[in-house]
Amino acid sequence: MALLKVEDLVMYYRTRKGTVKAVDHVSFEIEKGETLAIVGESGCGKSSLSRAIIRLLPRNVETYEGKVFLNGTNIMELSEERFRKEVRWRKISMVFQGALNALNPVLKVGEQVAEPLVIHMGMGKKEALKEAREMIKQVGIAEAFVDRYPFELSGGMRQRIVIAMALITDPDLVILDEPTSALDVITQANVMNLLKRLKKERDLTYIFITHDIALASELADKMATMYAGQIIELADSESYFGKPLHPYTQKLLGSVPTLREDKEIAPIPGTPPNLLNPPVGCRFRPRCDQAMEICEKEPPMFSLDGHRVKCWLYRGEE
Amino acid sequence: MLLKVENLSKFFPIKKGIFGKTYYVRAVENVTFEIDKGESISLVGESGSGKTTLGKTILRLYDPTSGKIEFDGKDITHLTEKELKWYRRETGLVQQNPFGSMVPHFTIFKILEEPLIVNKIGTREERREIVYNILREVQLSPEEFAFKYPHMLSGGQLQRVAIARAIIMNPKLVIADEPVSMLDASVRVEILNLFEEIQEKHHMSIIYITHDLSTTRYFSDRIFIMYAGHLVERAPTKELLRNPAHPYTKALLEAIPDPDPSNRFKFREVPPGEPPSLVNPPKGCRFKPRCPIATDKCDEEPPEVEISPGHFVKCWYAQ
Repeated sequence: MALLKVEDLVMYYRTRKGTVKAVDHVSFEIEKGETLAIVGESGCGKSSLSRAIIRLLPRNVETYEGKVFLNGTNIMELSEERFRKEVRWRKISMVFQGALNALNPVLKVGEQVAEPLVIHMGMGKKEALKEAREMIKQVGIAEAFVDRYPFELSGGMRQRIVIAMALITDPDLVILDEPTSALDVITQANVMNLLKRLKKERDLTYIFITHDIALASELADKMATMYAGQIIELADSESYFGKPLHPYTQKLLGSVPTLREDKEIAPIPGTPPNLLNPPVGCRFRPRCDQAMEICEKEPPMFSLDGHRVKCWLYRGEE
Repeated sequence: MLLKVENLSKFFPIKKGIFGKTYYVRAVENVTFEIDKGESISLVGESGSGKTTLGKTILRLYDPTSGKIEFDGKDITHLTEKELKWYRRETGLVQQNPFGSMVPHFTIFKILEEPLIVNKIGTREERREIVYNILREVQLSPEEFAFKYPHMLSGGQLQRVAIARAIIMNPKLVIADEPVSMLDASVRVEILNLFEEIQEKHHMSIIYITHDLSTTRYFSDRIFIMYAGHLVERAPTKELLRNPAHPYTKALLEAIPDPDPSNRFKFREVPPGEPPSLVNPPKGCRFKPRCPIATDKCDEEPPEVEISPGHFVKCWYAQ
């Protein structure tokens, strides 16, 4: 049984200009110990998707439906009260984008790492602090820093604190939303090393949200491309990087500069569609150089030996 | 040669306490290099390495603390603002955040016309012609964009306007400070390609300031690497990427992944720690505290050695 199974997840929100279809019938599953990286350009809905899974919804949410099975239980059916008590942070935790700059400036970092244990697990403060101390060591920070305040720590160290906060409750699933986007490259590499080590040692399951495909390959066992609120390709990393199928994924990979390999890079023509009023049928159609008449109808997800792609080019190849 | 920089330093004073001593942030220290006409340089460094300060000091937006800047054979190090007027025309700057660098209530036309008016160029009609041409050059249709306001444009379109503004006086040197780091990957390539086209067409020199080493290979003749206020290595692009010699450059290259599914099985060998404070930097080589091959000798500032033609390294152990 998959650790997480998402079926037809929908999250729309209302704005003055109309309904934004940020997450539009998304389905995927993740096995225990596996990492799924979700890549896409800004505004494609990848952060909305992660928030829909951990049920931190914008106030103006209009539609929120679908099924999310965690270890076989549909957590969409839980009341907000039960979700908060039993799921959020206890079973699914998250490292938010830029969270290292959102630490409470007047609380010692040790107390902040301990907080989820007190709030979500009902643990006593003393015991929680003891565990926090241990967790902080685990993320590679010297114990002396437990009693320091956030401003006394460098960016890389604060990011490690945020990761410690996400791991302290020993959750089944950790969502990483651009966990290194505020860091310099060498610090980023150090944090990625940490995430890899923790994954190995603790058999962690990650959803890794990023716009950086090269960085995604540092963690991903499976890759998914998100475009205009939908997942349009989903495959094992080897298959995804070795033989990308969707024209958008192909172009996305073709636009990534590489350091070691001599290759031409090319921009993707056009701009991503507006989620208020996405194109009918395949949403990439207006920018696709292989578009056909049938693309005016929405393509289903085709599966070629487990490599899933939402594109009419692969009709009849299943 | 277009630009010659000799032992350039820029320190910013900070006061601690009311009667306290003045300390200095040593943002750029002892930097030396030359740039040819029509050459494109990538200046690479992490945040806080002094790369933006170096760029702004070269443009004389900051006054140098010491050292010398020569532009087109003329010493511009200590010119007054009035004497600098010609230099402002010969240079251009494109900043990171296009939204922050445009007057919000000016139309695109007015934004671009402004430098022409300030420099008393052309009649109204002629200026219109120049603005329309420059918009076409950055691939924005004048009919569609000239009378829009900045907020109506996407980040990529606005960055094109910023480029147009930087080159409208046909300068010899343009400094582009992280021009694409706020844009999506697909748009980045477009903007960098545009830069390359413009640079070749007008035979301009470009200093492209970035933290992203992986884009530099496509757009520069030479790469300069900065660390904690020092210029630690400079070399022709291919040479630097193939034979990095400074331990910091090596670490930087090691830290950057290419898309490859086997990455997830490997750990990257990168130094721990973070760059030093520039108020109280380490004595001698500034990378010493993190360097895997450092010795006591590194307490002394290393000289710049030329290890192969045009490949300079500021390290005692460079070979």
